Amino acid sequence: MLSPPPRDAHGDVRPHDHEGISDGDGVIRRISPQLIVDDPKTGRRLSSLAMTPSSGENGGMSVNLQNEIEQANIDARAYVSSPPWLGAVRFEAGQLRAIELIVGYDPLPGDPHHGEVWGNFSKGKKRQLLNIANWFVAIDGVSIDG
Amino acid sequence: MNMQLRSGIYSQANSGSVMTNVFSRRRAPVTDVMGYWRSAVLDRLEELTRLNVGWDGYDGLPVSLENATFALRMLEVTCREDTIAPQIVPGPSGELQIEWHTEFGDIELLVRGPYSVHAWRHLPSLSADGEEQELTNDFLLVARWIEELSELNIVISAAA
Repeated sequence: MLSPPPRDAHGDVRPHDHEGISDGDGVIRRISPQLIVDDPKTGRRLSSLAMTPSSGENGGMSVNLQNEIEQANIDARAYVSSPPWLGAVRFEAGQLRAIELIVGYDPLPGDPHHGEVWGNFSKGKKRQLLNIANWFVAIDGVSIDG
Repeated sequence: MNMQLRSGIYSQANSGSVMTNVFSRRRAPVTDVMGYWRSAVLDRLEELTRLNVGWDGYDGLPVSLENATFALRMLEVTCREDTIAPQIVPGPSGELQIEWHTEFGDIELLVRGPYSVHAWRHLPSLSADGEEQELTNDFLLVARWIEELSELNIVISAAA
């Protein structure tokens, strides 16, 4: 169980690199079919927009923390592919830190194992993220290629 | 189909208003540019403005009508009549990305909001990172990129 994250005066989670998230821990991002494009070079693949943070002062890229899900005795694949039409990709926290991103804990009322990835999401960084991601819950006929 | 929403996107994009100044250097009046990509783009924009909150499995918002309108207006002044229809992808905060992917190159236009566009392209002649630029009120660069990609496809396809 992770310690509570730091919050700002409004109660929103501040960007932080949570010390309880180890480099080998799984960081999972749900993928909507809305984020798939057709590319004659690769076939159907994920758009770079699949690796984009929310806007706003503390906006990060939403993820789910695999260890937190599994410590709650929940099947992580079932958890992140709900609704059932969603796919998911997986990183290790250390891979994200290696490209100058930070990984934090941001539990939400409907998503208690929610986290955020913060940093500079340049076009090059988005493509790097696609290159290091692996399918956790694959979408048939779709590649991740950045 | 929600004709009221579709009509809203179309009429706002076609109304000129503030956009007239932004696109004052356009090559043709909007009403003259009835590219066959328009119907596909309008259908997709309508779909994206009607997404449910949380469409991405988190707290993703539907594409805003403001961004959809701006995107249509930008396409109307940068695309040729015979330009292939782009693909359009939603972002988590109401933004959208317009994408062309061909065997010979890629263009991606991230519309964060009106007057806030990140443009990126990759061609075989460029470095692996491609070429990118922030755009506000001058979209001639986009028009040139689309034209060059279209020409490249025609030339290389004809030679093959």
